[in-house]
Amino acid sequence: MTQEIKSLFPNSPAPKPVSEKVQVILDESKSKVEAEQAKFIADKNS
Amino acid sequence: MAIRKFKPSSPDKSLGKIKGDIELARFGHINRLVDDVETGKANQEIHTLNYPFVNYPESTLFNAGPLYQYPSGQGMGPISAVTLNSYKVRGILQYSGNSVISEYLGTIKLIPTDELFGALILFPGKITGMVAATEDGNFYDTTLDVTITPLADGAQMWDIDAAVYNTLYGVKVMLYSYGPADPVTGEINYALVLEAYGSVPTGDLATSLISYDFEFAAGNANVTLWWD
Repeated sequence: MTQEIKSLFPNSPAPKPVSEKVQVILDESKSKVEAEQAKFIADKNS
Repeated sequence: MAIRKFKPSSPDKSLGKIKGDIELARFGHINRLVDDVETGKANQEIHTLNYPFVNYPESTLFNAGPLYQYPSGQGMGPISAVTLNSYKVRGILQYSGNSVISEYLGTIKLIPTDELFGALILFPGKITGMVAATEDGNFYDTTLDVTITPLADGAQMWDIDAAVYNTLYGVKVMLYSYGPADPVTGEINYALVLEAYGSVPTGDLATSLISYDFEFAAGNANVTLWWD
């Protein structure tokens, strides 16, 4: 997967590392967005 | 910002702050300033990036927006004069991932410059931007058409595995608070995160170029953008 992503943007700089605090924020954000997506799909199919 | 006319005053507060203040200027120096104003360079901020050219600029803070100045007065308590400055965070994101987008753009730090003003207040501005996608996701193939949509619900990114577009919803910029202000300096921090999800939930690899321009206003504070 990493190789595939790199080939899409060959000139990209490597992703910059983030602090532990930001990583926690991003993990919670990801979970929240996943839940929003699940609700969106459920509403669309109901 | 409007340029004020020069007026003589005694004592002159403008002189003596920097070495050379009292030296005479030549016409060439002043005309250089005139040229810069005429060509718009005087209002154009230059941001030097600390990495070599890699096509797309990361998040950068600009403060070339409007400046609002309130007189001192009485609110819920006595308040000092407030300068409300407009800031923008701009950049281009190369997104490669699945159908759930949660991208850190940097951390906004605000430190109050005025004890009397007290609590920092963020004022809303606007979000603009665009999402660009090409079939097969290859931005370097100049024979492919490019689909450009606004950075808003309805934007499209390209699902490389399924070879279809996936429409984005729930597009927003979140300011995630780091917690209460520092009791001594009053400093507060917000992690700036771009969020969105595809209308088709999938773990497929999707890609797009996302430009964002997030504007906000802040009063009586030093504002910086940093990478945490």
